[in-house]
Order: sequence, then C-alpha cells, then structure tokens
Amino acid sequence: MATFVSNPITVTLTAPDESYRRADLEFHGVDHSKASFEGRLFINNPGAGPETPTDHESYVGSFWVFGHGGCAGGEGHCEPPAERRPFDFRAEHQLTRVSKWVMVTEKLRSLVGQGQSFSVRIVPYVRPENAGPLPASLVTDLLQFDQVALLTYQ
Amino acid sequence: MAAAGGSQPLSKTNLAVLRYRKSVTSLTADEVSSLRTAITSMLGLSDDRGYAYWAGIHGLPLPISCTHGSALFLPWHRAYLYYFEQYLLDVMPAGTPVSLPWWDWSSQAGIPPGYDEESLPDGAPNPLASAPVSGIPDAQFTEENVPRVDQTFRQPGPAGPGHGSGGLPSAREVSAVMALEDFDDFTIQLEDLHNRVHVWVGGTMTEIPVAAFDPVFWAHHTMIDRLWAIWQQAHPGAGTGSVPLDFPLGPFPTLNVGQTLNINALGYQYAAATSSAAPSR
Repeated sequence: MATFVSNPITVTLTAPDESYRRADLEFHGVDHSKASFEGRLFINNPGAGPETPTDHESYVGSFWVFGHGGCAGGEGHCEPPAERRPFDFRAEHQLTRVSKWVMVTEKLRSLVGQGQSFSVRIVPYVRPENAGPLPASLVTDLLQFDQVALLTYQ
Repeated sequence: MAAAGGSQPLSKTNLAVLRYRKSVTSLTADEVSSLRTAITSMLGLSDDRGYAYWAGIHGLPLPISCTHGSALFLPWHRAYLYYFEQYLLDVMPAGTPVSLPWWDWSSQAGIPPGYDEESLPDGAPNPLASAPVSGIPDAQFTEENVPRVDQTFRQPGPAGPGHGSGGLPSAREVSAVMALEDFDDFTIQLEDLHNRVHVWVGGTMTEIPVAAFDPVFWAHHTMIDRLWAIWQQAHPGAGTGSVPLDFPLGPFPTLNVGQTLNINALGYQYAAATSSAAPSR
C-alpha cells in the first residue's frame, strides 16, 4: 500500500449515490511519530493551506494527533516491525500507525451532491507557539498516512 | 464484577468510603490546599513513589508506556490515574480528603482556577502550575526529539467560545461524542478531543514524552476518565470493543482491562453534587 508523504495532501473520493444518515472520512495508517498537529479537512478546496480559516465554507472538520515527539532511543528504536511474529505477546510497538475518523455528515451533504466526485484537502497545522522550539525534523513531512476513505451509513 | 486486584470485594461497607472526584471549580479551599500539599510531597520523593517517577511512566524516561490510538487508551489511562492517586493518598495523613479533580475544558474558560497562578499568596511556587521535568537521562534528549526542558510550561490557545478548531472543545462537541453508541467509535472520538486539549494547552503538554510532568495533565485526564464513566453508565455492558478483558495493563501489575471497567471497584466515583448526613441521635 502506498504511503502518502507530503504537506498538505489532496485526495479524490466519490460521494455515494444513495442517501445516508452518517458520513465519516476515515484515515488509516496515520503516522504519529513527530510533533502534535491538527489535520484540517477541506472539501473541494485544493488550494487550502495553513492560512485558510476554519470558518471557510469548505472546512469540514479536523482530527488531532498527539505526537510521539521524535525518537529518544538508538537507531531502529522507533521503527515498528513490518509484521508481528507468531507468539509475540508484547504490547504493540509505540509507533504502530493509528486510524482517525471525522464525522462530516452535514458538511458533505451541503457541499457534494450524490454520486459526485470531490476532493479532500488535508492540511496539517501546528500551532506556531508549539512548533517554535521543536527541531525542523519534527514538523517536516508531518502528514503521512496509508489510506483515506469515505464511509457512509444508511 | 470482581474487584480490582481481587483482594477487596465491592461491599456495602467500602462503597461508603468511595472517593469523590470533583470538578476543579467545586473544590473547597481546603481541598485545593490538600491537593497542593500532596503534589508537593510527591515532588519531594525521588524514588518510585515520587511525582517524577509517575509522570515519567507516560513518556520519558524510556520505556514510554502510555497507549494511544487504540481501544487500550481509556483503560490504560484509568489505571494510570488510579495508581497516581494511590500515591497521592500515601503521602497524606489517613483520612485527608484528597482525590484527582477534573478539568471541564468544555466550559472553554481556559486553564482552570488553581492551576494558573504561578505563585501562591505566601509567595511559594504553585505546584499545580508547573513542575520540574526530572529523572530523564541526557542521552534520551536527542537532536531529533523534543528539546530538553527542566520545568513544565504552557502556551495555551485562545479561551472562550468562537475560536473554532483553535479553541477548546465545546460542550456541544462533547455531547456529540457522548451520543456515540459503539465503544470503538466513542474511544477514537474522545481521544481526538483529548489530543486537541493537549495541543491547546501547548508547551510541555503538547508532546507525549514530557506531557505528564505538567500538573494539569492529571486534571485533563481525569476529565477524560469521567466522560468515559458517564458514557459507561449510559451504555452498560459496552465493554472495551475488541480488547480482551484479561489484557494486562503494563506497568500496572494488579490491573487488567476488565478491572478498569467499574470505577466503584477502584474506589472512586464522579458526582455532580453530593450531600450526606448522619442521622441525629
């Protein structure tokens, strides 16, 4: 599975043909190894960036990542194993990637018609006060995930 | 259910001595004073009963033991608060009413009273405002991770309503999470609100390795624990999703996931208000 590595990232999805009572944007394989950040979501606004206000009509919600803050160990310490060995009963590696989902039901209904394609722009945002003291490596290429999906429920 | 640790069955007798965790805004002056005394006493201990030891379990020094991004998030932090509170009780004279208070950040009023004054009226530093970051070997502050800090600090975002995602979560946003029916759904969304508050407080609270050294960490997580407890009341039997109830919660050797499900069995309760009296004789 391809890993997106960029800041920010735009993906294209398609709204369902049927009506729905709930719609979630799901992000899987989200990296949380660096600084804490807010992932701001904008629909059909591929130019959105950190300066785009969250009261813009294209803003549909955010998720927040509580960051691991870099690696305090030696080489390889913060690299999760590619796969888990049989009989490995230890707790999951601290940096196993996580899933996030954001409920966007009403915003999706208002911005995207049934069956229409739409773009989702994910803008990682670090409060300047929080970013200031951190090494550049912790706030560079912050947004990394494996997959994004729209899930709707009837 | 079985009592936590398996040695003290829940009974009518020990139900009467449950600790009531209160809102930070409901604490009496004596209760705030007791909490400060307890934190100060823990800060004075450099062994495994001390503040630095317990703050360090969450992040640095290695190993980082906290769990985030999984269904273990709520059980693990409940066990963590439980152990920390036990050590708070240990440093106080028996019978002192000290417990972890909760910070209802959904009021959006900002850093709670009692935690924001740098110094006390007598000029002493306020142990709820800041704490030393200690016990972390120099080698664990590498060039690629969070910078070394000797004392916790905060850089809070804007207080009050109307700041959108830059402000603290609102009561409406909390209600939306509390209305979720499925545990996996609930825990992911509650953890997201939790992450947002860490980011809002800023400074030391922003990064996992050192967040728990900030004294407001405990009030924030007690709020999260309280929201889970309220959700549990509304969803009896909801459990913890896909996590086995006998899953151990390291490094808390006497607790597994199942043993965190009943807060009464852990000796505490959340109450919006309490009123009690003994019959007159």
